[in-house]
Amino acid sequence: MVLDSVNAAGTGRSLSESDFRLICVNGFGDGWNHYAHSMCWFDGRIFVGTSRANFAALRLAGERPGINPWPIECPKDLYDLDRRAQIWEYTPETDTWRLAFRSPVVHGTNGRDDVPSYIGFRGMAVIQADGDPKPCLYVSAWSPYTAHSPDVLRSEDGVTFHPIKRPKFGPAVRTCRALELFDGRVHLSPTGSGTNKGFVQDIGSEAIVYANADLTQETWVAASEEGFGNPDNATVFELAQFDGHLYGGTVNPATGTEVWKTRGGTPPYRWTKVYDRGAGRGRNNEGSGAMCEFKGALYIGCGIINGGFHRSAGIGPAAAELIRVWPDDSWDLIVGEPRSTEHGLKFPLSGLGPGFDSLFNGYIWRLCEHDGWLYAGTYCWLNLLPYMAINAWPEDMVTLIRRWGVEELVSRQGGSELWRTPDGVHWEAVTRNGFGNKYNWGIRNIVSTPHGLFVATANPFGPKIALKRDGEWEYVPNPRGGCEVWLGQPGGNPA
Amino acid sequence: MSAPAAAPIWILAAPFSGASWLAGCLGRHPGLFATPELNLFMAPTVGELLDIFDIGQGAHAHGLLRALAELEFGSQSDAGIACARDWLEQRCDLSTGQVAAHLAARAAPRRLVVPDSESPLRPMDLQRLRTQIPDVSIVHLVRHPWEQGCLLAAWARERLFVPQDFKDHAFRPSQVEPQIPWLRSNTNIERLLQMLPAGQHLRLRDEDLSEQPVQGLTGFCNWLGLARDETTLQSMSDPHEWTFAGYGPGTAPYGLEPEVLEPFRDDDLELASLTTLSGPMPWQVEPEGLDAQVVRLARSYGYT
Repeated sequence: MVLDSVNAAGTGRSLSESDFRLICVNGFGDGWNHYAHSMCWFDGRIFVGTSRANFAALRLAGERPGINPWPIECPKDLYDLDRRAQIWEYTPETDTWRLAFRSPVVHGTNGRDDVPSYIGFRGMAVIQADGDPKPCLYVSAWSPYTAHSPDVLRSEDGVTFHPIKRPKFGPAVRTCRALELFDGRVHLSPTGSGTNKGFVQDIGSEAIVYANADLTQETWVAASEEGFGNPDNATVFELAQFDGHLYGGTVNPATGTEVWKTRGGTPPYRWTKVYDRGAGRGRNNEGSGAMCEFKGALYIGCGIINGGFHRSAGIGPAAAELIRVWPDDSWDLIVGEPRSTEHGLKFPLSGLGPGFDSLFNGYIWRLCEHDGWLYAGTYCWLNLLPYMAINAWPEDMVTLIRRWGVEELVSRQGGSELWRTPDGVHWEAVTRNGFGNKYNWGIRNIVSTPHGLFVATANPFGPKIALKRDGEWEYVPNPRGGCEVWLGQPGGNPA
Repeated sequence: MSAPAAAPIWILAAPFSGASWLAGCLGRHPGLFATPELNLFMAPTVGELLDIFDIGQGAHAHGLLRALAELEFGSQSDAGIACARDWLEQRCDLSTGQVAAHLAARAAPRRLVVPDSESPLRPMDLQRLRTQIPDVSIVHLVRHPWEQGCLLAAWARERLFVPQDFKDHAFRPSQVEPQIPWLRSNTNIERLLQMLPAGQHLRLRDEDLSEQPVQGLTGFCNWLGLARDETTLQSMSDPHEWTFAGYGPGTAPYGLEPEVLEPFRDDDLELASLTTLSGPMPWQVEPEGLDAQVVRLARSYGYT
């Protein structure tokens, strides 16, 4: 433990909720743009990749016990929806959005001619790989099992997007997430799988990190062995660089997330374990969902897949933790449960319990440094509460929620949270209710730019939401459903 | 608001380290006015603090209500508590530091003393204390981790509700582990004190005050330039006549640490007196002894 390990020097002005301005509402005018699933600053503009109709797909993938009615109106057939994922471009100088790309459709394995190639864009990065004349925008896509293996799209200008040659994925791989240039190679890992029997958004069918130096060539190779040698590592969910290493965090439903690192070299690399068993918390730290270097340490946001409750694996519900790793592999608990570990007692240095003291924050989903401050965004499932049969929950939980009041809870704290810190220890909330919109259930992307801090949300509560009126549920249009983008600048940058 | 008064004195300690007891002692000094635990810095404003009080299951509001009832409305009666609650609800926009300043002004010319075993659990609460009362004088009160652990464990044994902060969550179900709040609080206090001038804080050991109260309290009075005549020091050795000693009225009975409200069993007290930094700790389900970090910090306080 280092008492004075953090240094608040070099911090700029922090951003408060009043510094943020809403620059995209209602899913770019289409409430089926549920997730602003990826975001990147490229050539002086912000690019946002959407995922479409996530909540409808979840509903139609199978029964969801305990949720009734379904919070949004869904068609009987998923193919009645336009699920072609979109990429939007924002120009700060003109305060305007442009639809930069829309997924094409293909002839699907189901015989239909209108199957989207991509139903989501889950990762973005600006990378200049071998063969790139300049830094290019790369976008990792999410493809339905009726289409084809997922692609990585490349754009030199933000106008035209073309798929590059993909790794030889197994047939069940449906999506990738992180794209990380390290040691002269681009790295990615499958993070979602699907077949005609269903899909799992957060677990790939192969837990491998792939690497390729020249993205114009089909020269992808495995940079890690499957699951870093542990078959319980179901997915390498997040990648990040820190201290001259590439770090990989896994989803491990058996014993909890593992974090590994490598110096690179000739693939497959030699990886060493930083920690395992969910940093001593076990399965309640099932996965590592966000990683960000900040003032000499790597911060890792954890979570349980499926929003903090991995029902099929019997994990959770539990709120998320935040871990801080140092170059020597020692680690601190920043937000979470105090506990004894093989490295001694760990207590949350921030003083905050799991989920920033909120049971409902199932992930710490994104981390980003901006102007000397670290920002952390959560996924919060509180806004599902009105649709959940809480009568079946443990009695003390029900008592507590009734005491607080469902409506009161949702109106005050429904929606994701954004927190900031100058040193990793002292945290203050920027928003605890999705910037005042309870339907923003996740801070899905945070991007620091010269123009300010862009924050993009996951908001699946559109286009029509179930509301109870006079004791009866009905579906009504929700003008605040669909992903949002907020821009933070000191003083609030009036348009 | 009232005119500025001398900066308050804040007693920072891990839970079950004697903060309430010391406040009672200091409250007997004619130049000091000691309150119960106020828990002011759990939030930046009164409005947010009332929200936390309202949503919590504990009695976090009681100390502040008792202090306000006494200082603002003249008595710790149920009527006074009701007035104190109204007073707060009408001032939701006030910063919690302003409330501390107001209480200090009401206590003047006596200097306000506030015991606090809650803020040390959270760095942000300590930061609010430091930034909202920059000239605060801080007493860092420590107790041997064995004794603190035995007392906390004895208290928790009889409780259905024990704060999550007091538990080791490596166990399912989680187990009470007093070392955790001891290490956490003292570490956070140490981090705070590193940011303050040396003359602004003083460390006291609970055991020294218990064994040689006159000597210990003399040192305290010297530090603050307070009168330290024999009568005063004798009076300070017995906190039972303190304004806030014991339970408050029915609508706000608490505000003090349990150790000064409810007597421990003799065998618990005897066990707590057998202090050591080695060997298995009596409260542990799987006895492993004290954590190395706890031992290191305890030794730096002179414990063996």
